[in-house]
Amino acid sequence: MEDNSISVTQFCTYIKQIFDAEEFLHGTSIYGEVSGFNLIRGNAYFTLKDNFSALQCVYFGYNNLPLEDGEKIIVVGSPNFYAKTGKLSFNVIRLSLIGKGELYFQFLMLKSKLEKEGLFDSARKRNLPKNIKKIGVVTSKEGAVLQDIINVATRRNPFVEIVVYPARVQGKNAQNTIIKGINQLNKTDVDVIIVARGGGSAEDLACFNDEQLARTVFNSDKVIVSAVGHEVDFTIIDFVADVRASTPSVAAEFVTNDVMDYYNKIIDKKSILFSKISYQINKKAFELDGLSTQAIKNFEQIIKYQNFKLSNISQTLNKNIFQLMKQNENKIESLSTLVEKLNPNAMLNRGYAKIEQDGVSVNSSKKINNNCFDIIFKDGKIKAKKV
Amino acid sequence: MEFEQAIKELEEIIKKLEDEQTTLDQGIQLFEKANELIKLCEKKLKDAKVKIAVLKGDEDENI
Repeated sequence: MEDNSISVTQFCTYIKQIFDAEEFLHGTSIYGEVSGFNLIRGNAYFTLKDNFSALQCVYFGYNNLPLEDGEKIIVVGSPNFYAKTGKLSFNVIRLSLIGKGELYFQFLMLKSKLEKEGLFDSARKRNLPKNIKKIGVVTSKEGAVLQDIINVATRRNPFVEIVVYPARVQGKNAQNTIIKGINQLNKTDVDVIIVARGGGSAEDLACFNDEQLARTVFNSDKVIVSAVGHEVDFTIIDFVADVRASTPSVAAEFVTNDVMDYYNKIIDKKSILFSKISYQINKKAFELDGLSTQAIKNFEQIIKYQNFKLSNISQTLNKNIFQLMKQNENKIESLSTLVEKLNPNAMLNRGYAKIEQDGVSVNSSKKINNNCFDIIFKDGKIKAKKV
Repeated sequence: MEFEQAIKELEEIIKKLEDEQTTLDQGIQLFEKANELIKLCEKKLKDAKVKIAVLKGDEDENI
């Protein structure tokens, strides 16, 4: 053993004294990436490293969310050399995420707390009411957000009513005016409440990461639609609200039925309506036309038939008349022959003579009362005298 | 009748008109009804006004 040798404890204590004495090392701010984050009994153990070096860190009484590997952070604290183990550890007293800062930590912490309480449970989220007629809006009356909501909502449904509660949407205590707005609109007959704000920095949107606001939204009787910032921005109210819209315009779309679109589609169908009806009418007309053609055809046939019948009848009639006439003619002829035969003058031709006295035919000798009478021959008469 | 209700009825009518079972007489009646509904909708649209109420908020107050 060398005379000038010292014990391990002496050496380690000496080292520790050097570290403790070096003021520059105390309250140092160091940036790097997190690796191997481990939370044990409220103390956080992790390694802070960059491409070439690594530093063991411990954060006693860490009360925030666990960090993931690769997360870039800044730690503030002091090095501590443990004589017992001969290892150096950096005691962190403050920690922040690079680029996100303290606000983000508060956000994560509140998010974790409310999530555990069940404020974000999807099972408790309500659907939007059907047939929304009145929309409550909590937002600033300045700026484009309110105008966007009004434009989109009324363009889609010109009959919708909008009730606005002008609230402060950024700055100190802005959350209190938003809370008041939600409570106030809950007392009205609006069907739904939109809480809206345009895009902004994390600081601008911070008022929507308020615990009391989250609980107000959670306890609201009316369905709440959150529309804060742009699509990429998430605030606590987005997690608690029944419906989260990525932008105020989208919120306005959610709460309105696009009756104009519906109407326009129906009106487009109006032409179909017309063509449908006219088609039916034409079809019927065609059918009717067919029927009438048929009717005409039938009629023609009937006429034809009737004509035919008539002509038959007339022919028959003619024939009958002819026959009748013929018969009559024959009859007349035979009658005339008979008459001819019966003509007394015809007897004269056959050599008979006729006796007349005073121009009257006499068919008995006893009827001749005086001496003179006429004997009539076919070609003349002679006077005769009764003797 | 409300605007949306009128459109719904119109839609129903169109469905019926598209149905080949609908007779011409029914079709003409439906068509007349549809025209009435369209007139109603047009009137309602013409009369529609943007209704906005602004409550007394505390946006401008010191809190």
